[in-house]
Amino acid sequence: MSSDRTDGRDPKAPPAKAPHLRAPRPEGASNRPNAAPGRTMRIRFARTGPAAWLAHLDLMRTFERSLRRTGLPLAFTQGFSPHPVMTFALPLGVGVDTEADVADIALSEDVAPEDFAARLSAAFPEGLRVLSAHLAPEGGESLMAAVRAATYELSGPGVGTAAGRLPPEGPLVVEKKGKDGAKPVDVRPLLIALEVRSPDGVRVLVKAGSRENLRPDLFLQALSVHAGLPSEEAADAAIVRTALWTAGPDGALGILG
Amino acid sequence: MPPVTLPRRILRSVEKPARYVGGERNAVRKTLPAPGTPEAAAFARFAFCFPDVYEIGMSHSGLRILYHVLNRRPDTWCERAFAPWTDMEEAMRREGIPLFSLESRTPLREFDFVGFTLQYELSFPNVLAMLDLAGIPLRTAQRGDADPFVIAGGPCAYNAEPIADFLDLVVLGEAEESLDELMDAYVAWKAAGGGPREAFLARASAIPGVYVPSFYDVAYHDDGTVASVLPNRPEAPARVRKRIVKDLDAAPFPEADLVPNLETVHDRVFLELFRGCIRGCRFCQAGFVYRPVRERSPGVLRAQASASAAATGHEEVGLLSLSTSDYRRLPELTDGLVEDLAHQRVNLSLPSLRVDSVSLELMEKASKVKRAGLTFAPEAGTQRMRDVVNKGIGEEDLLRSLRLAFEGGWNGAKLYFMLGLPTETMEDVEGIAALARSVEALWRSIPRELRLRPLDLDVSASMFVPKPFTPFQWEPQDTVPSLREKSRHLRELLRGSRAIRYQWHDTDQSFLEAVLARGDRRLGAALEEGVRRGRRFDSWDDRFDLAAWLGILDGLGLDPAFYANRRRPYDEVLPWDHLDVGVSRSFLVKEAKTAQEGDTTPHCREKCVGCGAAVYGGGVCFE
Repeated sequence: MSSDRTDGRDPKAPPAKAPHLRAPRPEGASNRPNAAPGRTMRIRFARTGPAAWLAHLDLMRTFERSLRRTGLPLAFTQGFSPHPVMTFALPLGVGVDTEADVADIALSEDVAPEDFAARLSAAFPEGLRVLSAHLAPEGGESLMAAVRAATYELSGPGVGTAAGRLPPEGPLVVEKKGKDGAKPVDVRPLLIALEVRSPDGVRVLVKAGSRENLRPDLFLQALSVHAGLPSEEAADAAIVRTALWTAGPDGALGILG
Repeated sequence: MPPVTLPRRILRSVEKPARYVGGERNAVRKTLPAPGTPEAAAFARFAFCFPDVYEIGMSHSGLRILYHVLNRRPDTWCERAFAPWTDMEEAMRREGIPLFSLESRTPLREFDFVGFTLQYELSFPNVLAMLDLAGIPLRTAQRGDADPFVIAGGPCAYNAEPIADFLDLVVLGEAEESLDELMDAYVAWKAAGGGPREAFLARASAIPGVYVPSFYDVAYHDDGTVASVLPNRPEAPARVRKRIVKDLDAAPFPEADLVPNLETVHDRVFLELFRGCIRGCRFCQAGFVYRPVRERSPGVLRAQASASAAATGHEEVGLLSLSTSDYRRLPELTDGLVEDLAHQRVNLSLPSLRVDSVSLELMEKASKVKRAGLTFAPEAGTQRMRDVVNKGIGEEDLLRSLRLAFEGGWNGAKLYFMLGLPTETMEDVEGIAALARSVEALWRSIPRELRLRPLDLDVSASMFVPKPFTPFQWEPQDTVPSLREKSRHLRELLRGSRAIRYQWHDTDQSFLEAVLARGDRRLGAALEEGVRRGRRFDSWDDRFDLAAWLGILDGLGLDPAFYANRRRPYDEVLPWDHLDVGVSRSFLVKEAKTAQEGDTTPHCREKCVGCGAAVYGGGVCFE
């Protein structure tokens, strides 16, 4: 705490945002959204530039505010703090661009998909863009549960060459840093396919989703540990998610959304 | 020079890289006029700097207003810069990256103006650290004609003397109008071919409210006190008077306000209900330097709220002022806002209000959209002490308010106090504990069926810091050991209650704050040395190191107690006596003496006591 303001109050004290003191709760308050069935817009979106540096929660807040700026008829959660109802297929890592991410947004009235796409694109900040929009199919698997795999294109000096040098089989153990310290992870079983595109570029298809997921930075670390890519180049490489995949009825991968 | 490039490896290695990349909604980007054209010769680039991290700086309404004021000029582009956190500063220094603007990633040293807002004294070292990281010579005397003009404003500009040697210009008071006039003068001067820096500073010093520190010489007595502060140029006025905006309804407001990339401390649309405060609590600098009170009308505020919520997408609107309960048309305003904002699914968040039946009803209404907590600032534990500081709140008022709140379903409150107030004794400190215990007893007297949750009472103590332009500007600050003892004693007295949580402010930080708040130009050398030794983010308690600062002050032969703990006689020349906030020195002396007698002074709407703010010809003085 610090006495910074002229009246001796602390400007960095948490705002009165989530007071531990509770006022009486209005009757009938709940958190159920007023989303209408069959009125969920599924969008494919791209992010690049400054927006790529937003953490997932900040990206969600940015989406929420962008949606509010559109003035479109959104479905909101009920309760004290109404929020638009949104679902993202797969969180994006900080510093990862995308050309193919998918999100669902619930509406309270019908909106033409092309209008929705145009107005949301116009309301986005720099670096975010709607690529396409259509109504989400009713019922079925949730967007998050549907994700099976993701394609990433990684580029930077020597990245492709290093990928070509990876041993063709055997474990590719790297260290995944988490809250409880680093733990070893074998990248190999999470790697589905790998295509060297140039000496400086590689495309990888990896397992993704809530069950099994390979973060692209761990693959870059594997290039560093097992194929001699200088760690500085690994840290500097551009990462673009170019596709999200789901399992089709026959079990084969199909584009999500 | 091309824009700065930020390698991915740097952004991936630092905490919260979104602090450094810009690209926010409503951030302003302009196309620069082609070099060599007359337009380029009459174009000004301004880097608005906040000497703390992004999340704190972006919460500041002044930044957002002045960003808008400057950017609505076709001949000016205002960009932003914040203090990089230590991890980013290290990376930038390692890679040779100078401090840059967020909008265009232009190095700060290429700007015409580099402007700082001085919100708290402990940010002074960060100002110097930012200049250093930008490669701008720290001292005005070292700057050449190609260097930017370094300018500052904000509440600490009322005594910026400790950093005066590093500032080319200081803007006193509300800058909406004076900054516009300054930019007019600058583009005219630059278009006419510019010239030596002093020529522009001389022109600037003729603008009311603009203070050029290098145009004033400070002389000292042998005992270290200030002998005189005198202009050394004919253009410089003997006294510089702060500016105010008379008509708040007509004042510029950024509807399409910046929408931060990261969650900030105050992440909402802000509505400024009024400036100034009628109350005159004697410890409160804001209560004197922002006089006279000027209100904005409810119709204007409602229109601003709706338009800004639509343009920003914020989910919450907050009310801003020094004492929201004193806004005369508060019920009318909040009723209107609740109605307007419900359509936009936007919450109204109420600040702390003086609790009475009216405000409880208000909070009840607001809680349909957003719950509100209760905050009280009795400031002191005994009536005697509260009279000394002119805090017009009695124990009965507080308990009556809390009874209403408890019966209305609230289960707690936050109580703010100060330790080390002038004339304070241990009895006054014990009064704080007694007051908290009375609240506990009151809670137990509330029918059990209304007490659905346990009582939750926050008692928070900050350390009194005497500030310039208050009736306590001559008072010594209580010493660190004494403040520690008082705080420890209070903690002991409050121990044993589950319902009461005691929090206190760091005594060490308050001490350095007191040194700087009433410091003079000789402290500049200490700030410079501190920054050289790596002092940063001193307002963050986990970064602050008093021992390091004491070592630096000692090494320079500067005695912190001389600034913080010495009673100054009324006839001593104060380092800020050449600055004028409208409130007269003689009024402050009178108030100081009234305080010593334990008497109170009525507030502006009870009775005009002739503080001097009427010189501005507006506001509450002429209601």
